[in-house]
Amino acid sequence: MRIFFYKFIIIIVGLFILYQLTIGYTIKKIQQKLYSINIKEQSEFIKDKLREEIKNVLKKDAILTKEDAILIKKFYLKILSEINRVD
Amino acid sequence: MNIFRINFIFFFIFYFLIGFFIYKDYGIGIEEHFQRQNGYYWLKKIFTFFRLDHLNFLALEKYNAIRTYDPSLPDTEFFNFYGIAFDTPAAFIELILKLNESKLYFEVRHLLNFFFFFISSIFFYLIIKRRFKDRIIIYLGSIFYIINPRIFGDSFHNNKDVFFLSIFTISIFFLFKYFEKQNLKNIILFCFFAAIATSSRIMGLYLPILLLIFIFADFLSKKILLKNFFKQISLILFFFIFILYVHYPYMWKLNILEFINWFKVFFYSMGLRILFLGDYFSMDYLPHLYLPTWISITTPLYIIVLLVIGYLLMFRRVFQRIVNIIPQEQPYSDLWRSLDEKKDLFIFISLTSFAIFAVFLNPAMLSGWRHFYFLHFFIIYITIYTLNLIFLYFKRKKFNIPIFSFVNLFFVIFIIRELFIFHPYQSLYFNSLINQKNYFNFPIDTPSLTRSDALKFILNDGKNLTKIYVSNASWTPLHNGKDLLNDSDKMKLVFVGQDYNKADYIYTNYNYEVDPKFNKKYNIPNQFNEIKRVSVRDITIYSIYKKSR
Repeated sequence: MRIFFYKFIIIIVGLFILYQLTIGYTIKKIQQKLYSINIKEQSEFIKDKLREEIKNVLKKDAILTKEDAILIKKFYLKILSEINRVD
Repeated sequence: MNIFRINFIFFFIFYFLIGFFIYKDYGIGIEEHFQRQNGYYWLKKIFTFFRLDHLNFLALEKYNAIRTYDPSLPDTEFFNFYGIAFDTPAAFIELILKLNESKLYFEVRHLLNFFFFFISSIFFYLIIKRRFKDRIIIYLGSIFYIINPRIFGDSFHNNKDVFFLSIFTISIFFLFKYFEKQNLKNIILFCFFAAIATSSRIMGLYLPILLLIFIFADFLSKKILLKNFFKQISLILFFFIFILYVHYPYMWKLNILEFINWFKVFFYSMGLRILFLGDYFSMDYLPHLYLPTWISITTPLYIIVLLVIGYLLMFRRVFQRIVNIIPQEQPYSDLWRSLDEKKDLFIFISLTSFAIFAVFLNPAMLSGWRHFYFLHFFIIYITIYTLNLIFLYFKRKKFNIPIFSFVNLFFVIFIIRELFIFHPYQSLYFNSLINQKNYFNFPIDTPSLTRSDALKFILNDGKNLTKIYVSNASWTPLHNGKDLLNDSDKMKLVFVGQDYNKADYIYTNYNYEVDPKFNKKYNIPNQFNEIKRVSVRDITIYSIYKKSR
């Protein structure tokens, strides 16, 4: 009886620790990732960052180089002509 | 009376005098306002029960005043499961002595808290005196119990966790007395203190449960007969439940059919996010190593090293005892071979089970490891266990005992020096593993102790202003820090939260509930300059900023 009781306790504790170190550990890692990310906070951060970048860009005299401006203009006109053709 | 006992009396008188002279140096802990409110909540319930109308009126008046003064405090109706053992007597003392000045009643609470810890240190001394025979070991044990910096600091203002540690220690003293002699007196005294421990923190429930398991082990080893086994179990259960029921009103709500719901409140989580190792985690899903890490970085390294060695040695002995158990009844074929071993096994199982609980079962924790400060008892016990083995080894090998004493004296002086360096912020102690390069990976001023000192500085700096507008760039409830100030000073301060445009000064203790990488609400505006930065051993504790004119 005595040995059975001690063995029983040791096996239960051993199985519990084994479970926690394997499956439990993986579950906890996922839970940590899910619950530790504050999506609202991070999206606000990204929005603020975007606003900040746009403000900085607007302060400059020129945003594009001459080559880029020509390229974008050509691209824009091409798209525009294709859209008009649909009508 | 022998010289040894006289020395100890002087030692404890000296310790008490130190506490008595420094208790006013400490700030207000983050939970103290709520606990004061809690005290009056219970006091008015008790006065209503006994129909003491006048006292009830006074208690109600105080309770309403607290609610009006700070409506942001948590609702006692919901959190009414703790505080009957400390907060209620503290509120009663405040009421009877007519302590109407906030500075005074918070200081009296601090003194009272220190007094309980002081009493527990005497009980700890008695525990190790009965377990270890050599005077030098008993001295070291008593000193280590007192001088662990976080516990030393918290013994003045942490009315919950250190009070629980104190009652826990006293309970274990009577539990060990019960191990020595199974009589009714020891059962009643153990049950009395274990019940108070349980009403202070639900973890106290562990004590009678483990005691019952030990009695069952005694029965399995045929050390006690079946009749005696049932008698002891019944007496412990009866007295424990009876005393708990009599003094703990939350027990009156216990409905056997809703047993689990009754327990749920103890595991309530505020759902906060906690800074740990540089990242913010939900307090419900903290990393496995949260508690071991916190203990390792906030306990003197000497104690940590002795703890690890002692724990491994205890583990080896328990393993050997289990392996050597044989079905036949033979002397020494058991989990313990003496009373001392039985006590050690109790300590080993306790620390192991609490460690398993904290590491694997996701208990919600915050403010470092203060919810587990009761482990301090086991930590110091095992530390002394190791020192005792080293001491016996020295004796056996005929090494020089003064060398042993000198080495330990060196470490004791080193830790006491740390107490001086951190004073009055011992509660924010970190050992040398934490330094200038990595301290910002952990929250520092979690008990919000720096608030009052910061406000005193602001008042002094802005003495020419009629009103001083103070903003708070941290999660700390700064406004409550004014309760250690004089009434005239309190009137000068206007708290404007995070409305930095209105502020003359900004206070921060860098304690945030949001990740400052993503949330800018605690960013200090450019028009403010830092005028004070308080650091201890290169660890910044708090800063004050002033608006540039």
